[in-house]
Amino acid sequence: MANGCNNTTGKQEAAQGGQNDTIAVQQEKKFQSVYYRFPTPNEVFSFIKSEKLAFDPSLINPVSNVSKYLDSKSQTIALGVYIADLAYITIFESYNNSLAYYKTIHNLSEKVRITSAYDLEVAKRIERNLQNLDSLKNISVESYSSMVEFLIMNNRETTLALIASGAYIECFYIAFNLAGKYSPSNPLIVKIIDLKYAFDNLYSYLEIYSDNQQVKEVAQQLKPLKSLFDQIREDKSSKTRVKQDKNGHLIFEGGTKLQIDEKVYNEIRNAVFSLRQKFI
Amino acid sequence: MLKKNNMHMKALGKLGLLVIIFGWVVFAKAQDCYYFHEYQCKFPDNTYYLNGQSRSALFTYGMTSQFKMVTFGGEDYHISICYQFKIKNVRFRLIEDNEDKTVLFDNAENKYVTEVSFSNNVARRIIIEISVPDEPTAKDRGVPQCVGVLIHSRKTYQEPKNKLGF
Repeated sequence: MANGCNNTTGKQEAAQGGQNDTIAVQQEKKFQSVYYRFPTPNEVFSFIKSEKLAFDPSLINPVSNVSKYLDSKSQTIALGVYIADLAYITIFESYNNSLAYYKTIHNLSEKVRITSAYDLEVAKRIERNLQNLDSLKNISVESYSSMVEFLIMNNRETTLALIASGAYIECFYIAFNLAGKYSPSNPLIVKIIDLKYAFDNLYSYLEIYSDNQQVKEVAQQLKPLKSLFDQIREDKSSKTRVKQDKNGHLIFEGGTKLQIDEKVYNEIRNAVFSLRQKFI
Repeated sequence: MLKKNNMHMKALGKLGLLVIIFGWVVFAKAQDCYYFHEYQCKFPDNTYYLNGQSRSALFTYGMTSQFKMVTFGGEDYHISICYQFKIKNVRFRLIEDNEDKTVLFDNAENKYVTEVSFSNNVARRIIIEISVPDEPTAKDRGVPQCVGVLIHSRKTYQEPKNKLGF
């Protein structure tokens, strides 16, 4: 999942200056831009997946709900929700559901004028590859990736912001349901906490594009969840160390560890469930 | 008459050159580096999966740009960069996005290699910083060119715990 923010200070300086080469070079060096990236729904589900977790069809948004989404904002957010559902379906290998969800995503993406990804030719590939697990995972990843490229290249980051918000809330909803009640030793809960950083980057992205009214509204909806994620404790007692093995492969050890207590866990969980209710 | 024709030819030649340069600039801007990273950057072995945080962008000489990515604990990452610039010393650094801004990797200390792989024990926010050095005499100075960052990831391989017997 992707997004970008241009800090235009350097550009503005360059435009105002430029009287001579020396100044121009100095200004060019000052040019800085920061872009935010965050993992895709496929990467989120690959990260949390373990052998003990099974696919639960009751957790995904039924395709029959698609007729409920009438305005562009709800359609765009729902598109993100269904993209996350398709990622969950493919990563957890429930391939019988994949075609229906893919077609739903195709229909919604046409409604929000995203034409380059999730096309019907790919749907035919899914039909041909229903037994081929790797192909279906690749199709899901490729389609998402080309949608992101299409949106960025067409300066539609605001659409991407809405899609990503819907997708992340759906990812969290499924992850919290799979994790169940709080237990400090639950490995899935440890992984859910790690998603805080991904959510932070998503939220920063929403803030950047919040001059768009729809993005602003969604950022306001997600703000309480952001505040709750900020309550996750950061144990900074261990400094990051960098090692290198004999093949030149680096190993990053130590660093900040995130910790959550039962109260904050339950509050984040409830906030996610409430947001998901609003989104679908 | 011949001299006049020559002058015309020279003027036309210069105009042609300008058109080519202008066309190149327009093309570079118009192409927006669509999928540049997937076509030009080096892929790791097939145990890795393409990571959606990969990105390409337009740069000019003397420019530095960063993007912030998220890495998970228990995963390996392979990051490779590629670029259209004809120089070989494009710098890329991995910096942990924490209070210390710990530099995790700097290719300037590693012969400006264009790829690195690492394992990660906890989730981290990482800044990928790309710096294209200034080249005041470069002929293509001022022409935006593509830089790609291709990211792959996989779960870190865990050695099975040694057990005696079957």
